[in-house]
Amino acid sequence: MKSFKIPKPPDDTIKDILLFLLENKKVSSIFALSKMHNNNYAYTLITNKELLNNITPTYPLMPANAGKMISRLTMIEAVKSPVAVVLRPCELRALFELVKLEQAKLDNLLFVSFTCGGVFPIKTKKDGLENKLEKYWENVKTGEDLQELRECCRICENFVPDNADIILQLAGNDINNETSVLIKTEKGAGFLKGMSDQFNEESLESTSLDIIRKKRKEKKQKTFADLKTEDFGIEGLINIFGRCINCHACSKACPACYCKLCYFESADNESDPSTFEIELKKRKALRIPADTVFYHLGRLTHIGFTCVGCGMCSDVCPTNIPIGTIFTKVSERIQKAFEYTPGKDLEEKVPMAIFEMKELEDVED
Amino acid sequence: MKGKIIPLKDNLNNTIKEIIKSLLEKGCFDAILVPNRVPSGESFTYLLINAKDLLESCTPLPPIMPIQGARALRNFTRRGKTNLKVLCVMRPCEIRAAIELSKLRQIELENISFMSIDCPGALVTKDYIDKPKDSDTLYEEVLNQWASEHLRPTCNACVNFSYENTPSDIHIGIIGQDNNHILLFPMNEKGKALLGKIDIQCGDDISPWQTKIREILQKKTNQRNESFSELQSKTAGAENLDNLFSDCINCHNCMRVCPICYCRQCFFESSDEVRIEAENYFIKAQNKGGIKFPADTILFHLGRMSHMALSCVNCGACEDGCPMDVPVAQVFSFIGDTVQKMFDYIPGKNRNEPIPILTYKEDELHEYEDSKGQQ
Repeated sequence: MKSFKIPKPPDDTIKDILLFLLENKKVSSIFALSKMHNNNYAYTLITNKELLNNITPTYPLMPANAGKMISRLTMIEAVKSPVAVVLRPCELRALFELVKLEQAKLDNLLFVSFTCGGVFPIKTKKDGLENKLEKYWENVKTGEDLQELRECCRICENFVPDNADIILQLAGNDINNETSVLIKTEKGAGFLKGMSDQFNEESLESTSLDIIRKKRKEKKQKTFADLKTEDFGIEGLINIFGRCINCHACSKACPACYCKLCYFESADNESDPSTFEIELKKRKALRIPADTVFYHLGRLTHIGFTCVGCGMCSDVCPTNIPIGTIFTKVSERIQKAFEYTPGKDLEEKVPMAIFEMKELEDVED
Repeated sequence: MKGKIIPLKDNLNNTIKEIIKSLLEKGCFDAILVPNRVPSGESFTYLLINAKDLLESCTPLPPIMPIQGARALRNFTRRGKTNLKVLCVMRPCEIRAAIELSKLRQIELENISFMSIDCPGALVTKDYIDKPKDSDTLYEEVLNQWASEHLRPTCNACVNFSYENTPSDIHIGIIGQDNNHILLFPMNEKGKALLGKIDIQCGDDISPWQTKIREILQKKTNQRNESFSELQSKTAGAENLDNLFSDCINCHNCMRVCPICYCRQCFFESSDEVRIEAENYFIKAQNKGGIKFPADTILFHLGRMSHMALSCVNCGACEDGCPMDVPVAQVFSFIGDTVQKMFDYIPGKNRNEPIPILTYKEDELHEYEDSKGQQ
């Protein structure tokens, strides 16, 4: 596919592209991660080109899943004028799933993404992320595992944003002085028309990406094996989720958790004291509030198909339960059973939304 | 006031456990709501227990408070009174929160009794989960010192850590007993009758303990004043607020773990807030050149504050549950204190005193009226 090079590091390259789009009125606004005035990082919707100076799209931090944020923006109507959205591959996949779940609309959105090296847990910024960046970018180039990253990122094989319109080559590349920009779609080509006249032919896939993928896969297999979810049983579930405090932060941060009112927060899930009394008689002791294991299993049945493995849930858990890793592992098996890859193809329906007379006979009685 | 001094069995929790066991055994209660260690050992949860042998594993005063007791009791009695006579063994702030929730009609107190324990504070839950064994040792020290940098910040600045302002039925004093005694005394007639049933006669002088309480109260008051004067400058003005809450990722954990936050559905999670026309965001963005996503994070905190500041019991659950370590409990505690003083209200102190937002007075708060506000 067509590509061109800009002799600048990735964030500056993206700024150039976005500035070109804004100045030529090809887009009305930009959605990207920004450094805020108080040295914080947050997603922003920008209309003023001066504020483009603050954007830091490849800064390895994900304060919220951008897919969920775009869902907030386009929940009830599509945006009316073009917006350039810069986001990570898992965020774009989450957004595609939300579109299928009728909680977002893609019209007028131009997607800029990059081959992703992963992010640090959100809290890392508290201890200062700046001194970790050099090592981070070195490892992005080589594909070496970095222990301090989100566990979900360390085991992610889907770090290539197949559905983006414009893709920057980061992983596996030396990006200190030059960034390669690939034009993945016709739409992308249309928007970038006039920006460069020096095009190369470049493939998105490369041996260096294959090597990174292989390393991540090995890491994933080891991580999944160490989790031993197969041996959990009810006892294992209690051991891992027993310290859950029912705060539901994992559900709030999750881009795939789609219920407008969570059952576990609804009046349906409240019980009369008499129910507790009957249970107490039977069991002699009751956990109150209950529904920790049940809540996580319930959530898993909802999002197992669409989990994109972004790791937001683990990041926000105040009791450090490795939810993201567990959910990613179980979801991978569910997704394999239905031959479904979340976020890959807009036309392919979420398996939960289709009925097939003949399926899953192998798990029948 | 007289109490009963009881020698320590092997440790504090086991001594209290024996008292609870005998209350259950003598039929004073049908069940006990009390913290227990979770099976994997690194945290605690409330269990409602009706069998004496299952009480063996309870921890009446755990080093952490991962779930505020009032939340547990609300879960149990939100839809009405229980027919079981239940004793809740809780920290003072948990009991005060339960009283507030009963005023908000989310807890039904009929058949419920409370046993309060002098509280040295709670360790930060995340720290405990990381190192349960070390933290247990650390908590032994806390029980001697009654202050520690490892405690929740609001615990170090807590002035309601004992029986005063906490309307329980039985109180257990543990401060200044040199780790070889605890003392027990009734807070009302009901408590007196309960202690009578387990043959505890309260004739011992408790004034040395009361002296010790006053000593610690003085220290904690100083700490509180110090932290409040720091917060005074930190919370003033929009820019400071922005900085304070800048780490907030809008997960609403503080709201969900807060025992007071009473809305059945939070406005900030309702369609009114979530389902907004895209155009709306663009207008805001154009006005300022750009807006942050998620939007309205500070508005969420201010909204929450206006709801629960009058009833805030300074338990610190919000900060403990915050994945970003926003000092949310310290801010709310400071603002809560200011608002509560304004209405001369101490949340949870008096079961019969209505929350000021539930009362209408024609003649009040004149000092905030226009005539003065114009200056």
